[in-house]
Amino acid sequence: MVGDTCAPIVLISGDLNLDAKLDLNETWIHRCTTALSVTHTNTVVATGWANGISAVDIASATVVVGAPIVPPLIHVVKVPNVFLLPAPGGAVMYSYTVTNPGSEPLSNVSITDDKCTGLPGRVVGHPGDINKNNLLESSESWSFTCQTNLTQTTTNTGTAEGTANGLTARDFAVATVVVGVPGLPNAGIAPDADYMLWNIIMLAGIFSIVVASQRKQVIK
Amino acid sequence: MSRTGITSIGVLTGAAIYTAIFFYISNITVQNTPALVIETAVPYVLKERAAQPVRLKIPSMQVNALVEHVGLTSDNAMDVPKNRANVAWFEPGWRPGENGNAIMAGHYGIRNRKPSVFDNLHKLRKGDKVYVEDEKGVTISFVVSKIRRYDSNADASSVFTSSDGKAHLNLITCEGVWDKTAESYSKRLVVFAELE
Repeated sequence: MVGDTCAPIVLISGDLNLDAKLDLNETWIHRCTTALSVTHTNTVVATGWANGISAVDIASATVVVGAPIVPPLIHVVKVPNVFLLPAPGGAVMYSYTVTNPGSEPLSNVSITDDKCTGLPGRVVGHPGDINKNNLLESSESWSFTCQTNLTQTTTNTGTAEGTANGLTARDFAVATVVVGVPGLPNAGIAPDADYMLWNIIMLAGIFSIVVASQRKQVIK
Repeated sequence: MSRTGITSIGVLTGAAIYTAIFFYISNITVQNTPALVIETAVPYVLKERAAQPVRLKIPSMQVNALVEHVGLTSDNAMDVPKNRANVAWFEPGWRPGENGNAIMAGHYGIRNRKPSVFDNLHKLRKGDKVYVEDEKGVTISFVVSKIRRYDSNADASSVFTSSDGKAHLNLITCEGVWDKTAESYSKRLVVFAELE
């Protein structure tokens, strides 16, 4: 976790098995405290690694100083239906879920992606808009899909935006899909030296017995 | 590695010795922006993925192994399980039961007189059953369809991909001759199984 204007960022809770790995069933909560004298937007980047590939998410939040304005917040999660395409040109379906973690309903909500063109841009009449007011409220979850064909390993960025109280909140979701056939795994354990030696001794013994018995037959 | 394999290596080494004597972003701010073009929203319809595997069971081999999740090594090969008693599922690929090739790998070899999970994978035959238990407790049944052997650096397209639209489970381990320099066996054994 790296913040642009607040440090230190401290892990409060969430690593249930204390293995320092963010497991699928865990939610880690961090905290950072700072003093503000003017309106300020703080940005934090969370990075994790798995399978030799990094995953990044970026979150920002504004605090308005000196005016009774509640800034907006927006959050987008993007997940590809497959993380590896064995051959170039295969189709990937990305799903996006946009939510409002703030308290102000968001207008002018839009969703775009820099490398997938099937998204609507500004959203009107989404089925997830329960009260049909075209505002993304904190109780709502608006979801989308976008399909594209990838010819090479691709990292793309989805962007969600929404407006409230004259301010626009923006969030990004980054996902990587690997294209290409992996090599076969090397799952061999080196043979025990002592076990090999034991086999050699056994073989030598058997060989000696065979030779001895043949000699015996020749003598007869 | 099976005792047979070890014995084979021992026999070969012994014979040799005896004859001679033996794998951005900035400017994120909250700001005023112009309105975007209004378009119609796309309803969200995503086919739910299969659950993730947690255990592999092969009754004919007395295998009942935990499933580790792995990805790629730095040289772009599928990774292997950390524990020799476990199997590794290739997480970036398909999940068992999905239409595609789900891949699992297990170790082969004896060290400190302890066997590895796939020492007897070569004993599987066409028609044998392989079961995967997922995180929801559901057991998915596969049946062995064929067994193939590959060089260690062979093109693995036929292992990782399929075009028949069916659900496959492919099990991989090592066999052949141990190369001390490369720290690898010469061959890869792949057992292909199909959803029953």
